[in-house]
Amino acid sequence: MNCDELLKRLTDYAEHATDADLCAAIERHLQDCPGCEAIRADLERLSRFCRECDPPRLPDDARESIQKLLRG
Amino acid sequence: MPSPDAVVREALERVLRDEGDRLYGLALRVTREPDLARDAVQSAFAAALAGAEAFRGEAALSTWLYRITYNKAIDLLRTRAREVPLPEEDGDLGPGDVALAQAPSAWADPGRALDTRRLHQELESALAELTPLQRAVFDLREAEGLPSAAVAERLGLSEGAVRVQLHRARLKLRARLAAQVQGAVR
Repeated sequence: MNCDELLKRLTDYAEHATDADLCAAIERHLQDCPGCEAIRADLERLSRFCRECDPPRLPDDARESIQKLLRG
Repeated sequence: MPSPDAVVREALERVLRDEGDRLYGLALRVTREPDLARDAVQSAFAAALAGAEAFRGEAALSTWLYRITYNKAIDLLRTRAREVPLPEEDGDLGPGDVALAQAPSAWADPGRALDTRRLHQELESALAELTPLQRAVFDLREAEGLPSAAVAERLGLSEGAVRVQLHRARLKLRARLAAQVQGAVR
């Protein structure tokens, strides 16, 4: 597996959507290639970072208006 | 015994209670405009109430609400002409995606890193450059933490299509954040 092939499959790998052979090939490449491993780690950091963001809340007036609709 | 209509209304109230914030989060991510997001969620519940016979079971109901909310958000973007949804990038990942991955890292050098608050701001700004579908996939997978199978179900996509959109979204955001870090310290 070369770097281009690996870079196309990083999300499949992170989402556990690769079969055992492909997964093993990706892991071998990552062990031997600091550049690709750095990109993989970066994408993992990005995912973690996004989950730290405060989730938005449905404004109270919108919630009340929907409740009114549902209660007829 | 409650009427079928009352059962549906109660089920929708439970969806509003349990998923209302997430539905709003999805609509906000897609539209990037609080008023449009609020309209999308309200319209989605109105549409669900009007077409209640089209679903079976409460799990399907909440999943269905996500799809309706996404579609309403897209419709609002189109009708209000705030943003013409960009063509969705379909198909396999190609050389463009690989080239995107070659961007430097926003996190490689802690001495050059932006503080967390600024990085959050940059992330929001970078999200504007994704397609609406990429933002929806990114929101449900990354912000809400849903498994890709659940994202696929909510948006009516295959799991493979979710992963392609997610991969593009991640690479674009990583590249954009890296560019912001480089620009900020120049």
